[in-house]
Amino acid sequence: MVGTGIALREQVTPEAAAAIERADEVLYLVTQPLTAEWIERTNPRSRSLEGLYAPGKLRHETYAEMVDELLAPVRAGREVCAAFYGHPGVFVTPGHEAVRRARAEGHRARMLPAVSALDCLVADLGIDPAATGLQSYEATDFLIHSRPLDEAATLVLWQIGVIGERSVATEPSRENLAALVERLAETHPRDHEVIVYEASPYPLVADPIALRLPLAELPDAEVPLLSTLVVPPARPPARRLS
Amino acid sequence: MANGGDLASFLHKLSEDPALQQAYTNDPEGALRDAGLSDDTIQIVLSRDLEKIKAVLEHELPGITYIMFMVIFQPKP
Repeated sequence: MVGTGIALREQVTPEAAAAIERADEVLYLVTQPLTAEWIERTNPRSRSLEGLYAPGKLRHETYAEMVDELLAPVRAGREVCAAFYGHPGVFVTPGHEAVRRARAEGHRARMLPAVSALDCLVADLGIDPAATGLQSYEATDFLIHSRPLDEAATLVLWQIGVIGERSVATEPSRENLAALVERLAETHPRDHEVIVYEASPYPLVADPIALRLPLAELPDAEVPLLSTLVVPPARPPARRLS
Repeated sequence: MANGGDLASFLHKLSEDPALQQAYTNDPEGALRDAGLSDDTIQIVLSRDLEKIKAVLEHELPGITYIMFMVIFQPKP
């Protein structure tokens, strides 16, 4: 199980590239056609899992099918490399499940670390998780569950572009973004500056998106589907010990 | 350098070729002109605007969908 990072090719680690190259079969899911092209050139025994997505199909069904696709050649005794965009274990439901099931069936399975969107975010926005603390939730999860929120820590909400969507999304839901603002306004001022962030897949030629705006304006903002919301701390932490 | 004059090919080569990366760092416009890109595309790339650059790529590679297969996490109900 390997990740291709966020950039086209530059963030693929040497051990991930070697795993792709030597596998009997490579199954991949990446957002960039150019990354797909590189994978197929590196190992001609590669194919995309993209076809498993379909409009109206529930995502958990798609992911279950992905896991089955990954495990079928493993059961046939082939060495399989699954390559996912970003880090294969960060916000990749089928990644961990495929490793878990492969091991449960007695096969050797290993996940290699990779560059995730969070790694790019830390670098691009100059945020050190050690300085403020860091909370991180998937946006829909944060909205529908009672999650504790520490307003003295940096909050990272993933997948705000598809918040509240259970199937395939084509554009962010303004209504769901407004609901997110209401949730955050319980602890943060409405004029608190937040950052809509998207890492650049072409870091050599394109800057990341880092749209800074007051929290209240989020529903009306241009929110890219791939974006992450960063909410800086609203106050310093309270001291418990002197 | 001629590579067909499309941005996708240029980005592909740039991601793998350290010499081209150096040339681009030193002279972005010159490297883009050497690649045979159109004036419009060159101006868009020089803007470093991610959304505009994506739009050029989507125009070059019709049918690609960033939206269909990028969401790969399902929160537990």
